[in-house]
Amino acid sequence: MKIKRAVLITLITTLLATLTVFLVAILSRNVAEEAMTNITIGQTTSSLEAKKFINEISVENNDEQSQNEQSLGCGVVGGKCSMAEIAKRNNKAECWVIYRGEYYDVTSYIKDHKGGTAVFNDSTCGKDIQVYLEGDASTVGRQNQHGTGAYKDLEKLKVGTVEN
Amino acid sequence: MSSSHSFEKWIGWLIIAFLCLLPLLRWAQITDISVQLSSWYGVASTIGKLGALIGTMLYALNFVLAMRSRWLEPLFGGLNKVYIAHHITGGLALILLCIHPVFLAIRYIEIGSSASYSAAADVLLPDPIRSGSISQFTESMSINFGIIGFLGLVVLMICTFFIKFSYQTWLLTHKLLGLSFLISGLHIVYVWSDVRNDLPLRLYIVFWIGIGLAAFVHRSLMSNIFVRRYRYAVSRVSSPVDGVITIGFEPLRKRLSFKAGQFVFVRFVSGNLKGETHPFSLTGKQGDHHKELEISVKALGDYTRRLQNVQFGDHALIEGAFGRFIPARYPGKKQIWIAGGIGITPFIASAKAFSSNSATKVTLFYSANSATEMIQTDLFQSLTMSDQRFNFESFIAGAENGFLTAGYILKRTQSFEDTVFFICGPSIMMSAMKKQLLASGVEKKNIISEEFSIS
Repeated sequence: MKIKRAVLITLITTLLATLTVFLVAILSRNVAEEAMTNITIGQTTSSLEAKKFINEISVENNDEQSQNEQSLGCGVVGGKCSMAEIAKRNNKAECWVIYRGEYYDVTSYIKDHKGGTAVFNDSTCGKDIQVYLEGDASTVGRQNQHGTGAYKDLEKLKVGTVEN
Repeated sequence: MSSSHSFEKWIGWLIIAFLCLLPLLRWAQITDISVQLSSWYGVASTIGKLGALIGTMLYALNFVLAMRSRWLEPLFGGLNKVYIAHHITGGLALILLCIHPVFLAIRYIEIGSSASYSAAADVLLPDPIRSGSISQFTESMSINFGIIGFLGLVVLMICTFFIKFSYQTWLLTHKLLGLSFLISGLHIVYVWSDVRNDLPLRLYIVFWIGIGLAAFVHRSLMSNIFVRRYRYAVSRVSSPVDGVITIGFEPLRKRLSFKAGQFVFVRFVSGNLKGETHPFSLTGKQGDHHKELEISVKALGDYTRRLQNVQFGDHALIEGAFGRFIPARYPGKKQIWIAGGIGITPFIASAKAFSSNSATKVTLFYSANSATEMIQTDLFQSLTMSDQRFNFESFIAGAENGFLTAGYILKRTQSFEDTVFFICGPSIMMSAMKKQLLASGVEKKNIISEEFSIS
């Protein structure tokens, strides 16, 4: 029957896609760790610099965007960034959020979020998260009030202010 | 059994399509589609989300189709078509639910950083359980429920599609599918998603998850309470030919009514055949004056072989009657009945119900590997002798005659014009015969077949 064949093809494709994703993730992680080690050996101690170095490796295909960021001061600590630029960082791999006029790079924090990683998606990344962070009556499903620890964590991740 | 008028069998599919389309329309309403389609991340997210929405709907509807309810029959053109729809929706649900995690993972590819590849792998891995508060716990568990439910679905569907189990094991895998659906439902309800964040979408999906679970409980867990079955006792057993057994049943309380050509599900509750439920065509006389039910069974599989040892007085629960393989639904039409082997059974009841007052003209072609395999030929021959509107032709298939073909039937009947064909027999024979009839210019709507058989 045709559906049986389609199911078989889908299952095989899914398995192959899953294995590929894991393989690529493991390989790329090794490359990143190697880069981190090299930086440490070379006495480049700042983790921010290490992160920047890794990003440089990984965004080779996105030079234009990087240049644009630099000219705007976007992504540079203390620099300003437009809503449009922040909106581009709308996923777990690159997640910037806006809170009370400031923007934050929370990418590295996602794994540590006590409420799980699932909340970091295109509804929160690249967007203003005040309603999610503080919660109000209109928040769907539940109040999302956070403790003082969450605000302290967020403060550490601040990059700059949002350009109006 | 059955099939029927051309449009009828599409109603069910149209309803399924409509029910799957509704959540898509709502999702499109709450989503900025132009933004979604402006990047690979958005496109892949969209495909993943839509896969989940339609897949969930099909998963839920799959349980509804498995309810074996008589009200589903007119929507699909017979219970056999309902089961085919159940099979197809199950397969499609699996395909779409495979698309969901794969596309949510590979949407990170375009970003091209090691963090993005890690994020892609994280989608496919269990989330660490967080115990800070109930909401944090449910958040991480919701992802894990999705993974468990999905893996459960994959394993059980592999069992369903590709592994031939014993009846009891097959039944167990189907029951576990309900558990897998329940776990997947928890994922859908609790995971941070468009479904959770949009109330109308959430209500719609939760409603159908509830319907799916209710259908599962109705059929698989509490059928003794919810499904109407009639208690009968074996009143006679005979073996008209070697390897075929005819069993008569007398009602112990209420009796079920049926039309000639329909079938019932029989489950013995005493004797050594307890536990399994199987469908059988009724071969007895229909009508209020005939309270006895009769089935004729050929020993083809494990169960039907064991059935040859049924004892007088054994009790059985009988559910039905089902099917739209009913020649009487086409009164006044010229009919050609084509039977292969034990596929003669629905025609036995139809021949017994054949009325001499009917304007219907019937020619029955009965094909078997040998004359000794044929049953009830006396009935067909005497009907041929007594009624000009009924003709019977036996056909011995084999090296000498080949197989019964549409060409042979056309030669014997001279015309296929304004004729309705009823076919019942081995699936290969039915498939070949249908192709030949279609090639001979017979319209699809005039071919009524019975593909449903579990031996």
